Amino acid sequence: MREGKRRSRWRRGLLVLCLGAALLAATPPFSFGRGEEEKGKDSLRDVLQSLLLPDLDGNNVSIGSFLGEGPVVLDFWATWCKPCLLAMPELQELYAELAPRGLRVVGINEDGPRNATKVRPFLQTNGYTFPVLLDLNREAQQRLHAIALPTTLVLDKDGVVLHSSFGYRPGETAKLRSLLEPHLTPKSE
Amino acid sequence: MKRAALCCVAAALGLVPASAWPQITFSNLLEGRVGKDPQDPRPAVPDDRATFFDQFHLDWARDALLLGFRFEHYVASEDASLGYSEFVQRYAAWQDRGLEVRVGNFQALFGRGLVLRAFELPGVVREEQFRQFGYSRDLDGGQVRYRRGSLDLMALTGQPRRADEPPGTERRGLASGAQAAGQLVKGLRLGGEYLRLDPQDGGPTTHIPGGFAQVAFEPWLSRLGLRALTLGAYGEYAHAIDLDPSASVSPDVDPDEGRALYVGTDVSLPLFLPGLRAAASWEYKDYDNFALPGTVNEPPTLVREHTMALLNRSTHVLEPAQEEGYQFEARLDWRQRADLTLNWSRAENSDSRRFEEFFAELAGHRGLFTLSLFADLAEDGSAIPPVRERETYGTYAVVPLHGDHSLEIELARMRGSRDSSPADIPFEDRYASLTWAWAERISLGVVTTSTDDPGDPGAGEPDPSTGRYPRQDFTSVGARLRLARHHDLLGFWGKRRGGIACTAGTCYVVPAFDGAGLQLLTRF
Repeated sequence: MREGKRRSRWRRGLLVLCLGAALLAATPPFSFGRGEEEKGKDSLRDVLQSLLLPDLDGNNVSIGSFLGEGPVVLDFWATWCKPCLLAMPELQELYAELAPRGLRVVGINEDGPRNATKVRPFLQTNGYTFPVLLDLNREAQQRLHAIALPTTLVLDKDGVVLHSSFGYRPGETAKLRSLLEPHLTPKSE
Repeated sequence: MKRAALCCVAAALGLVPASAWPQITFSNLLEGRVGKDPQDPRPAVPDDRATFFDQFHLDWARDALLLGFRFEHYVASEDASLGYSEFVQRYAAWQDRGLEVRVGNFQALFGRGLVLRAFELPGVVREEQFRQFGYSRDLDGGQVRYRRGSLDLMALTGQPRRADEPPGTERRGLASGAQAAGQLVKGLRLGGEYLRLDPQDGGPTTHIPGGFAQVAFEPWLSRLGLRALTLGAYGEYAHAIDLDPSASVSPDVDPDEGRALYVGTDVSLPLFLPGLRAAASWEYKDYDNFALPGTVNEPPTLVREHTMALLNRSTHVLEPAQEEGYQFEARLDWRQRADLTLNWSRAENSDSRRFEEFFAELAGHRGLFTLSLFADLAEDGSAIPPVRERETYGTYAVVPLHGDHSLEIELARMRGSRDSSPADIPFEDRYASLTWAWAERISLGVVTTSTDDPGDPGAGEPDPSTGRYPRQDFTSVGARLRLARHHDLLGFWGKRRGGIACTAGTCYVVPAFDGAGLQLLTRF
């Protein structure tokens, strides 16, 4: 019986290998190059377009709908996550300062059904004005490989990942300014 | 059938337009450890037990097609039979204009999880039966979902996985169901749900219909000129029919029936003092015989999930088989410089067991500087042994230093007693942590905690003269290093205390550990 189990495991492995080979065959030469002509490869546009999460009123919003105008900061956070809470005032400051120049900040809340009712009161009392979507069942966290909280993803307007980080240390969000600057509309004189 | 589906997907790749670039994303969690659980019951397990765990997750997307898998590998030095290499998830999905068709492993949520919640906790590594594996309670089968605006239609069928069972464990039972939700009028969203659970072992097939409503009162409030006020409410009710009567716990319903009710409201309002904002939420639960077969559901707990270390591990674990209770939380904020959080949670279980907690936290902020003081009073009749008159006090601070450096400090003390005969046994937990961080580079921390709690997994034997248990000390150092753009390296050395840990609303048991470990997180 153990022999049979081992054989079935091998067969399963072989099947996945075949599938992997088919995937690679259908993939153009793979690299993480950042040239303009290769941008399509690194863009998460299609992934983000297909990721629909409810806003605080239950309306489904595509994360991809925030692309197109300027850089986008996706912040995965939760009300019980201490480093997430420390990062949020910095994020709000960044948003308030740079939104007129095209920056979009989107909070992806990972509290789940247990704390969903507390999210709006938390945002309102802290004066956070950037949009927040509820990832009630961790769909976005899984799909965007946010394997720790907080996870911060910075995307350009086409959905190309400019920066990703796990965790937070005081002062880090403010340091994103220099990364974002080339992607923002120029300051008006 | 699954093999045929995968072959179809492989064949379909040839039909995808060659001009489109595929999007490949992957992450990897690698953990190596040397050391052991001091309470490991197996004889002759060496102190230098070595384990290696790796979880690799890859997604390949091209236009509307998504393919992915998750592979886990585990090796333990003391027993080769504990090791495994498994594709714990593999899936194919087609997504276009709000329509998604998926085969293989998937997560799903009906309403707020009273009836169905198949999910995972990314990044959490469970330790059960001397093995490590990712936390997953997914379904293996198929799902069709259509979402547009507030409309959400979903039908699914799949075999559930228990989160405490290692990969390779045969799945039992079949869950099939559907959910439909949509906005009826502006501000009012209604939904209906139905789940059928077939145990596939000759037991009764359970049917669970339910429904939910979400109301946002802003459209009506703004008509009354109350634009600054926000008010929302959510309610969900579900009824289980044909449950196994031998598993019945609640005396309030028939043995083959179950019911669950959840109601939550939230309100936010500006106060009359300049810069002062207030908000509150209130939630109510009443669950009877609702620990559904196959652990396919996870109703909201309604107990505060704390950020502070001692409180986070001392929480109440929901008993959906019979629990009633409520939670009230209020927040006051003054110009983002000072805030006050008040929480009151209460849960009543069968046999008159009761959990009750009052929590208050006052915090001040100035730039990156934060200082908070908190106090917590609780009683937990559902703990084993029950906890009486538990008091916790503590402080937490973040102090910015020169340049990009900062210090983080947490101090807490918990005192209480465990129910015992002839007299209750007092205990005291102490916790202190100090972390130095350098933004975007590194953080180094030291954590020390000690306890003489009789309920701790390593409590030992009491002193015959005093009745008190010996004090256990746990000290560890940890480091986190950012390696280039895609990697984070975490190190641990010392003793870790075992017990309950809660992540994202879900609680699970973490064994104690004495040794050293390294974890590498990678994301592309």
